[in-house]
Amino acid sequence: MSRKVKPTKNQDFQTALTNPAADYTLVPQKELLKYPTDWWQCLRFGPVSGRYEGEMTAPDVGKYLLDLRVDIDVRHANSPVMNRVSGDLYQMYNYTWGTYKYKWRVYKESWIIDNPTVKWSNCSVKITGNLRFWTGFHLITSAEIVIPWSGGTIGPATVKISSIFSSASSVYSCTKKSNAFREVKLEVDICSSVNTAPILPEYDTDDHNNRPVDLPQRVLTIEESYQEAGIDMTINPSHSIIDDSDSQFTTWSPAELHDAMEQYFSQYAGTWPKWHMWCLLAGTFQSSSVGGIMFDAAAAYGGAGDAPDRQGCAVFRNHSWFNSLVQNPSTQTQAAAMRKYLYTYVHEIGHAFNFLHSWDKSRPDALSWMNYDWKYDNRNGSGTFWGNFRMRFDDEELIHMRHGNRASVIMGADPWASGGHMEEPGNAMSNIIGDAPVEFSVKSKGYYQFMEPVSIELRVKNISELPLNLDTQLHPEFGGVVIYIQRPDGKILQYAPVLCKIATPELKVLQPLAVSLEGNDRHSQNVFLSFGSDGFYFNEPGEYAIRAVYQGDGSMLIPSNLHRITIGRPFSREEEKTAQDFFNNSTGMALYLNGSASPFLKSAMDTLEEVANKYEKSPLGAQVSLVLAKNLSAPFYRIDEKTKKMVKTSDAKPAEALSFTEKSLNYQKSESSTFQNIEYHDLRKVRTDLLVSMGKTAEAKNEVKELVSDLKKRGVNQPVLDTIKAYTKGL
Amino acid sequence: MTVTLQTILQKVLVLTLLPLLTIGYEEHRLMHTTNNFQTDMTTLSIDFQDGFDKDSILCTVNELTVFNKKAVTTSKLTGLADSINIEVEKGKAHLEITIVNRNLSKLIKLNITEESYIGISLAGDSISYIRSAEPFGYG
Repeated sequence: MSRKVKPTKNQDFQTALTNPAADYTLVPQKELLKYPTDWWQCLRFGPVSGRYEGEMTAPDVGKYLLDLRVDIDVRHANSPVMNRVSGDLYQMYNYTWGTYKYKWRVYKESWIIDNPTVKWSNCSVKITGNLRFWTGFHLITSAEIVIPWSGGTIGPATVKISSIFSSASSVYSCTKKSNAFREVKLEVDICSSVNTAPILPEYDTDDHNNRPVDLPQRVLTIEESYQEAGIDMTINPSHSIIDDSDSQFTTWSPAELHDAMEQYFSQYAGTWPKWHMWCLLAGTFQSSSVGGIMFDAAAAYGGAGDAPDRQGCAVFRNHSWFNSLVQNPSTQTQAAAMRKYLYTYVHEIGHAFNFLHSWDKSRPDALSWMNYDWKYDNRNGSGTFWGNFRMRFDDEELIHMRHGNRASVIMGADPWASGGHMEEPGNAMSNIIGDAPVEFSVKSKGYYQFMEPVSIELRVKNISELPLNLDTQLHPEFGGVVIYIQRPDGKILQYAPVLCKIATPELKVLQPLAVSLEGNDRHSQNVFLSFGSDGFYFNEPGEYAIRAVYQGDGSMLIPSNLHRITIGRPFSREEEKTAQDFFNNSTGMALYLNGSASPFLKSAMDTLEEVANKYEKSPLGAQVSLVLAKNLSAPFYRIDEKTKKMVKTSDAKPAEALSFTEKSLNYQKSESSTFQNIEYHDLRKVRTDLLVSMGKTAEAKNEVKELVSDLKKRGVNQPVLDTIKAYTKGL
Repeated sequence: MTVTLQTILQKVLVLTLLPLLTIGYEEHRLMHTTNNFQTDMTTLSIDFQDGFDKDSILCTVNELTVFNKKAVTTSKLTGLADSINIEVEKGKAHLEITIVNRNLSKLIKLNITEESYIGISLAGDSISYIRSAEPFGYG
């Protein structure tokens, strides 16, 4: 039913325009003649609230982009106003090569304005308040946002951000993009055993009698429930059907659900985090009392334990909740089943936004999608949950979902049940959006034994259509790459190398894949990460996350994927005891330097030798043996205290060094994942050089031959193999 | 096929004595009580819900051990740690929950007249329970 709004005086006119309940249908009346003839210029046919986006206009035009969320008036029916403004800041990058233009943005940080001051005028609204940043240290910063409207069009919003002690302001011009605050794409796949209607819920809020008396009637779907929450959720209309007909297969485990997601989720590959998620309609979970699960969380929480988190969930159609589920409910039992079906989907998707259950947030009486009806009823009386539930998230949840720190909300970023980033350095949670010409990635073997040295492989790859001349010094010592490590306690540290090197960029032309062999388009380098200026970074068992940021010659900023590694637990008390000697600065420095004959590090080298012998048949022993071998493979010179001249204090000991590499090689043969490709190359190269120095050229050539053969089996690209083969010719 | 009296007696002996020899008297009693062919039997479902963290739980019903597990941990994703379904005689029953590693115990006196669902939670130093006529669900 359309309700006409008849403004009679100036104040009422404005109220009419901003009245959330109004349908904005204005009919010119005689009274309107009292107003100036351009009264129509201040018409507004929709809410101010929603998402705005725009680039910086001053002082640096186009350098940054602001994603702005304004939440000050009703933007959708049954959608509460949270009276907040929030923003995500991105840095913009452009790369031009002739007529080719690449444009991408890198997420920097997020902020929120709690309870801003809002002043409505006839043709605009002015919002002011102080910014609260989610991460890092900032001086007091305030914002003044003016959003005009004219002839029915809202915006663009002019956002002026000023910091105390600074006379210059950052100014952005943001156009309105949506009435929602965020956009999420959902993909729903279905197991063949439960592929019967209804696949997705559709619930008329009037269908069940046990409901709040004044609950507005409407038909709720997943999309509509989330639209009311402020999220524009679109569901991919095509659903993959997963064949689960094997009679031996009866229930799903979290690991099986994750595996299915990896195979069927069309968005699984590629860079995360992103505003995408996957849901599987499946038969029965391993605990039959579970009606749905957001399985993508740490194993300690009952999830699959396969990061990144919060990408997928499942709803179990064979749960007794859904015994009476039909497409068009006509009885109270059927209506309850459909309502529960909707609840389960919305609840599990809610977990993917990083929601805990209500009682785990000390809100056991919350009337929220994230509470359990029976838990609420147990505290408040039978049937009271559905009797009072208004089919919505609670206020705190709405604020998190609409205005929370991006990394804490977006799928695939912060681990589930976490979100504290108060101490994180800038760029640690950055991720790329748009078309960058370069891909930067981190990889490793993933699992490391306790005390085992951690090395990661950094790779820069040309993904453009043109040759790119890039700096290939990827070690943080050269300053072109920054690495962040999130420890198991959630604290994020920036890796600080012991040495800082100043060198000219090592430029290399990386060819586009379209015109070259795979391998010529990329450059990889191994980086030892165990020890740095801050000490040992991986001295606690548990899961760590690593992200590197490539800055090249300074003209670009390319964040890598978020790579997770696990450090195992000590197997014995003896290992714990050894760790006390191992995790000290001298041993760390000896590892960092690949061994040293300096008398200052003698005790550290003794510790390493003890570790190499004690753990000979383990990855730890194999890695440390290689360090000892490298140390013995070259002579050592130091300044003589008396003569003040550099004198040789120890000779190279190739035979002893070779015997240490033998230990590493033997273990590698029994456990091929000990050394990753670059490390394995390094090991064989050390052996080759030692054999050459001992005059055993034939054996050295054989060493290279075996290396090429092994790397070929591991799928190493031809250009790399050709480079190694060329080395043989020089022997 | 001819079935002789001897064969029948052999089968009866095997079915009654073998379980006693292999699994012990207590378990046999419990198994016997799980055969729901008598109308005075019903299902008691016990869910271990919030607050468990690598706990050792011993659960008895009328002094019979029905659950004895170590390292029981609540899944934060669902609010469920573990669960059991047992068949019990209708009427009064004593359910005793012991958290061995925390030295905690709670005796719950139940009057079971129909299918019953018990949720056990741990908060600090106390064991609490809720009872429902309907199965608990988790998500």
